[in-house]
Amino acid sequence: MRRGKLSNKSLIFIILTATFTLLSYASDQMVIRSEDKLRNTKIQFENKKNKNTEYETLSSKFTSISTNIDLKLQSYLSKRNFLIKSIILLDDEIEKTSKNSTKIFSESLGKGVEATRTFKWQIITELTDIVLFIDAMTVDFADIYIYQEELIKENNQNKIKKLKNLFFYDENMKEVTSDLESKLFYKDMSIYTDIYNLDTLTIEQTRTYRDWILENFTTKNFYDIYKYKMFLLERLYKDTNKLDKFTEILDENLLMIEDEMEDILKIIQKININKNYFILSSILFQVLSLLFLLILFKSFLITPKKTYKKILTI
Amino acid sequence: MRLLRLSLLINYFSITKNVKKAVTAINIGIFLSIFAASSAVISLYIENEISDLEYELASLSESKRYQERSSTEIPRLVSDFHRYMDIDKIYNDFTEILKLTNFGNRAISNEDRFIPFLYDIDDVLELEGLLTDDIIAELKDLINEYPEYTKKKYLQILDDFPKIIKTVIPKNEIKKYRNILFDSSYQDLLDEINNKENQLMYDGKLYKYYEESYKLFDYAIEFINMMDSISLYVIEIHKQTIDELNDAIIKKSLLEKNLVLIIFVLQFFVFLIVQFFEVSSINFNSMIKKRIK
Repeated sequence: MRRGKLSNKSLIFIILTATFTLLSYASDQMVIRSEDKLRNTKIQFENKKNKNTEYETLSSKFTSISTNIDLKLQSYLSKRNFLIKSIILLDDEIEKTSKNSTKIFSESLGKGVEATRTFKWQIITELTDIVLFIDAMTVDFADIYIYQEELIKENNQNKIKKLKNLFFYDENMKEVTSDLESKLFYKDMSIYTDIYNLDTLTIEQTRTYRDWILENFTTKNFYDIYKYKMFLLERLYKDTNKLDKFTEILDENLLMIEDEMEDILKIIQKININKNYFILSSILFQVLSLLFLLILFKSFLITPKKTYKKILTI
Repeated sequence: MRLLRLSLLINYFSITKNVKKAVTAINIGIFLSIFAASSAVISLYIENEISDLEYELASLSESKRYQERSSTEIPRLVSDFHRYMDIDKIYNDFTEILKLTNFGNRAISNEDRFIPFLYDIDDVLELEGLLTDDIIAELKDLINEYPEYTKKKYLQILDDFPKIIKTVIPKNEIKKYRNILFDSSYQDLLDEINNKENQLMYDGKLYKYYEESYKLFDYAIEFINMMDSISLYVIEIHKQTIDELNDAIIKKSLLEKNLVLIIFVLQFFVFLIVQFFEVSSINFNSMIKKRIK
C-alpha cells in the first residue's frame, strides 16, 4: 500500500489536535474532581447549618426559660418580705409592746376571714406556687437536657459545674439544705416540705395539714417558711445565672459556627467558579481539537503540489 | 473499520466533484467550531464575572438573613424590658397606697421597695463594652442617612451611651444588696420594721440608686429601639443591593446571549466570503489541470 508523506504543517496540526484532546480530557477530569470536592464541601456546609440550627434552638429555649424565671423572680422578690413582716407586725407579743397600733383591719371581713390567717394562708400558697413553678422549670430544662445532652456537654466541657442538676432540688437535698437548716428556728425541714409534698400526703391530708398549720404554727415557723421560700428563690436566681452563662458559651460557639459557615460558603463558591472554568475549558479544548482536525483534513485537500505560477508556465 | 481507512478517504477526495463537497463540509465544520470556540471564550469570561456577582449575592443574602434573625429578637428583648418595668410599676402603685397606712409603712421598707430593682443591675451594664470606636463610627455613618429629626435623636442616644451606661452602683454594694435580698435574718426584718428612717419612701441612697437605674433601663430600651431601626435600615440596604446584583446578573446573561449572536452573524459572513473564494479556487485549479491534460 502506498502511503503519502506528511508535511510539517500537517504534523503541527496533528500535534495541536492531540494536545487539545489531552487538555480536554484533563479538564474533564478536573470537573469530576471539582464535583467530588463540591459534594463533600456541601455536605460539610449542611452539617454546619444543621448544627447552627440546633445551637440556635437550644439557645432560644434556654433564653426563654431564663427570661421566664427572671420575670417570675422580679414579681416574687418585689413583695418578698411583705407577708412575713405583716405576720410579725400582727404577732400579739410585738403588737402589745408596739406604740403604733396596727389594728387597721376590719373585724367584720366575714366568717373565718381574718387578717393574720389571710397573711399566713398567703405565705403557704406562695411557697406552694414557687415550688410548682420550680417543678415546671425543672421539667422544661430536663426535657431539653435529655434530648440535647451530647450537644450541651460538647459546649459546656465542664466549664459550668453540675449543669445537669439545674433547678433540680430533690437530689442531694440534704447537702443543699444543710446551710438553710442552720438558719431555721425549727430544724426539721419535713414540717415545711409537707405543705406541698403530694408524695407523702394526699390532697385531703395536705388540706387538713395546712389548716392545722394556720392554727398551730407560730410566727417563727412562718419565718422558717419565709426563709425556705427565699432559699428557693436564691437557688433559682443562681441557677438562672448558670444557665445564662451557658447560653453565653453557646452563643459564642454559634458565632464561631456562623464564621465557619461563611468560610465554607466561600470555598463552595470558589470550587463552583473553578468547576465552571473547567467545564468551559474542556468544551473549548474539544472544539479547538476538532478545529485543528478539520484544518488538517482541509490541508490534505487543497495543498497544491506545485505553485500555480509553476503550473501555468508549463 | 475498513470504511474509515485513510486510503479510502484519499480516494474519495481525489475526485474533484467530491473535493468541492468535502471542502464545503469542512468549511462548515470549521465555521461551527470557530463559532463554538468563540462562544465558549465569551461564556468563560462572562460566567466568571457572573460567578463573582453570585458570590457577592450569596454573602449578602446570608448577611440579610442574619440581620433579619437578629431583628426578630429585638422586639422580644424590648418587651422583656417593658414587662420587667411594668412589674415594678405595679409594685410601686401597691407600695404607694400601702405606705399611706401605718401598717403598710412599717411592713414595707426602702430595702423591700428598691433592692429587687437593683440586685441584678450589673446585667444591664454588660452593654458597656458593646460599643467600640469602630462600631460607633459605622453607626454614625448609617444614622447620617436618616431624616434630620431622627438623626439628631439617634446621635444624641449614641453620645449619651458612655454617660449613662456606667457603673451606677459599686459592685460591692450590689453584692451587699443581694445578700440583704435573699438572706435577711429575723432580727434584720424586725430592725426594718422598727427603723423609721427606712420607711421614708423617696429619700436615701437606695432611692437615688433606683432613680439612676431607672434612667439606665429607659435608656437601654431607647438604645435597643434605635438598634432595631438601624438593623431594619441595614436590611433595606441589603435588599436594594441584592436587587441591583440580580439586575446585574440578568444584564450580564443578556450580554452573553447578544455577544454570541453577534459573533455568529460576523463569523457566518466571514464563512460565506471564505467559501466563495475557496470554491472559485477549486474551480480554477481543476480548469488548470484540464488544460495541462
